[in-house]
Amino acid sequence: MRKVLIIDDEGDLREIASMSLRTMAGWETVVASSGKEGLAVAEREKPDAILLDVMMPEVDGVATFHMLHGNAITRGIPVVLLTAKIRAADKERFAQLAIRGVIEKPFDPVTLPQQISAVLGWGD
Amino acid sequence: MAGQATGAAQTVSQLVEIWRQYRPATIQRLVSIEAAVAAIVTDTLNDQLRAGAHADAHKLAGSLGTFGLHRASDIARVLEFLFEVRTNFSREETLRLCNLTTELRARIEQGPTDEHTRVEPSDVPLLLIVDVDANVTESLSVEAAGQGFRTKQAATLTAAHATIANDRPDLVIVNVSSTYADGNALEFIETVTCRNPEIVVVALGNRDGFMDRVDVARHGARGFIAEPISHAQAIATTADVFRRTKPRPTRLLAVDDDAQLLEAVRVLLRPINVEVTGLTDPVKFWEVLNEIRPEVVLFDVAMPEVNGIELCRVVRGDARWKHLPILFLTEHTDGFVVQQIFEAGADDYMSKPIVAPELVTRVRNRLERTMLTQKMSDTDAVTGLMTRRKVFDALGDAIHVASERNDPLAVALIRLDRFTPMREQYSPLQMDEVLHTAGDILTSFFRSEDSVGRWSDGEFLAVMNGLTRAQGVHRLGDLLERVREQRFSPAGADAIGLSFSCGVAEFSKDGVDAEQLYRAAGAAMEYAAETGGNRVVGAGASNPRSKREAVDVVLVDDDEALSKLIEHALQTRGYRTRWFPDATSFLSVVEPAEGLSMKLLLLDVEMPGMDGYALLRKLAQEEVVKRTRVIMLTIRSAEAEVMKAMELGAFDHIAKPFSMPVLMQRIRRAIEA
Repeated sequence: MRKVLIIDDEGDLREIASMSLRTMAGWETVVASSGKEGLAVAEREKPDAILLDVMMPEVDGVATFHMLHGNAITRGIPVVLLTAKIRAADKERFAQLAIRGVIEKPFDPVTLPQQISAVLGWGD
Repeated sequence: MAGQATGAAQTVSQLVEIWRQYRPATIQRLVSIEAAVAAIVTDTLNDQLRAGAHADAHKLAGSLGTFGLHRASDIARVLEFLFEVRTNFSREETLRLCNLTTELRARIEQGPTDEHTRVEPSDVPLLLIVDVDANVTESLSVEAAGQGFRTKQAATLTAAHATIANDRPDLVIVNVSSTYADGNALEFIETVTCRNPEIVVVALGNRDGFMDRVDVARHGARGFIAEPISHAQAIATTADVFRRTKPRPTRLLAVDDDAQLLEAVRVLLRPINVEVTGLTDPVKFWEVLNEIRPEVVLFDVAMPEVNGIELCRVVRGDARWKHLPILFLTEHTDGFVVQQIFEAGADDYMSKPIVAPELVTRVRNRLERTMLTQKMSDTDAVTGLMTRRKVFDALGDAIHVASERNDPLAVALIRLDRFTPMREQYSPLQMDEVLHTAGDILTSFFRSEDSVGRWSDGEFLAVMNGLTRAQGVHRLGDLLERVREQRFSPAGADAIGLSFSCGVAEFSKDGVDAEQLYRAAGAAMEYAAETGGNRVVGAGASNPRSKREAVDVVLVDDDEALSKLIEHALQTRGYRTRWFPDATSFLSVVEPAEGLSMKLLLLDVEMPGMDGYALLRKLAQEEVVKRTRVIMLTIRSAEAEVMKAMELGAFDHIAKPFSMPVLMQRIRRAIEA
């Protein structure tokens, strides 16, 4: 069974994403409300993928990505960004990172698992 | 798929649960935005409030759509843009901010509906901005967000095509002065407008550059924004073009003592372009009716003081309003009340509570019937063009817009040549066929924001926004060529060719109101007809009473066939022309103390006797080139030849073989420069 870690500071979106992946795709989910917590959970749970919110207070999505990427245990886990706004400058930044994909907010909870599968090339 | 459907149903019900749980947090974010808007109104916005509102709007933009509140999400995104960069807001912007925030609250309070997973096409228009310069697109985006648009950006034409396919924008701004690595901006406009005629495309570009309004319009753009212009002004102009292409909203007056119900009606009917005025006090009905002049009314049956049925009777008894469509909303579905409603003259009724699809369908049905009648009375039955009344009104509206924006506007009056003899030769039904075909050509030729109507029997009036007189003359010249190519074949008669005489006037040079403009265009049209017809003439060109012979274009070329062709094309566009086969015959007319005055000289290089360069050199010595622009017609566009011509004082050169439209464009530019 797939296991996905959701890192988002907003409780409602965390819950919806988690509920959506469980209900629509039957995946297992773990959640974290900050970058720091996300890194700890990722080390412990070793998820198959990480859904990462870009705009968070203190440690934002890009900084969190650098932490995950710099950590020997978590560096191989594919990361998908969740973002409400893609600007030209952001695109350049994302292109330089080893991000696997970007999903725009607001996402549709009914099709979110399909979107993640498509981005990661998961064939289920 | 059954599992998928069940999953979706579960997801939806859990979503409603999560919404309930997080509603207070959402309201908190809304309150922060409202506080910032209130501060703008009282001019006390500080950076902390602004930054807070910006962050909260960002969060709402990202989350509300997930709950199915797509419109609310779009509003939040617009607010986010506004709070990101702006500290100063105009009165109008402040008002818009207030309205957006009010609507955002209404949407949030309403919460997710059961239809929430259906992605509704948002009624915030989506604008795609195409330019290679990211700074420009970014700046335009911010302005556009401030003026109520959602935006997407593309730096390449390929990316722009992809966005059009995926997101179906309502309008597109393309910088046509940019050089795109993956194609040509004009071809892009043509492809987009051909494939998606519903998308409004506006070109942004340098007025002095190669492209101008006419070129851009030919490729399908609805508007041209000439640089230099501020980004705010560019977006305002675009919004204006967009609004003009949109049908005017239908006005509906809803009378009900329940203000919440009125609000629901307003929100539900907006997607079908109905503007609802809500009235809770039926006593004021008559006053408001005459003020807003609605096209349909909606009455509640039971209201305090005056009830809907009484109001309905009053409306039906008034001569001006007796045809106004009337719909009823009622809690009572018993036969007696329904009978009373219809007896009072109502057209339809619906029972409360309102069911959204039913309300939309009933109102739409009612409007379609009214609009059909309206359209029939505004359309000329034979040609399918506007009626005289309608096109005259359209001219009035266009003048109003042009004077506000300080834009030119061209008016063309067109008369079919030989119309009276045709009348005698053909039966009325055959004449109708000819006029019908003419109507088809005119309809397909003019842009959608132009207006064209049947003025009288064989006359048509066209209103072209944004064109000068000279540009209008050229455009009508194109039309004349198209008409000449067409064969008209009324049933039972031989196919005939048609031509027309046309006069073009410009607002405000030739007149400041509809009457003056059509008279100026009419005088020019008469002149075109008197001088042989089959041509287009600009207003004011009609009275060359000077003793010296004056022409617009003189052509010196030994190729007689080509010269006749060029002369014909020029005369079609209203230019007066003279042709000389060689330098000697030309000089014999020009030399004796300027027997001939001309604006432009087209000079062939390779001629027997004195060649083009030698003649140009002589004219340069006599300073003729100071008064007259010269275009050299060269055989090759070799650099040495071009340089030689330019050094001698030629204005332009064009290499043979050339295409006639290109030559016409160059000539127009040389004369206007």
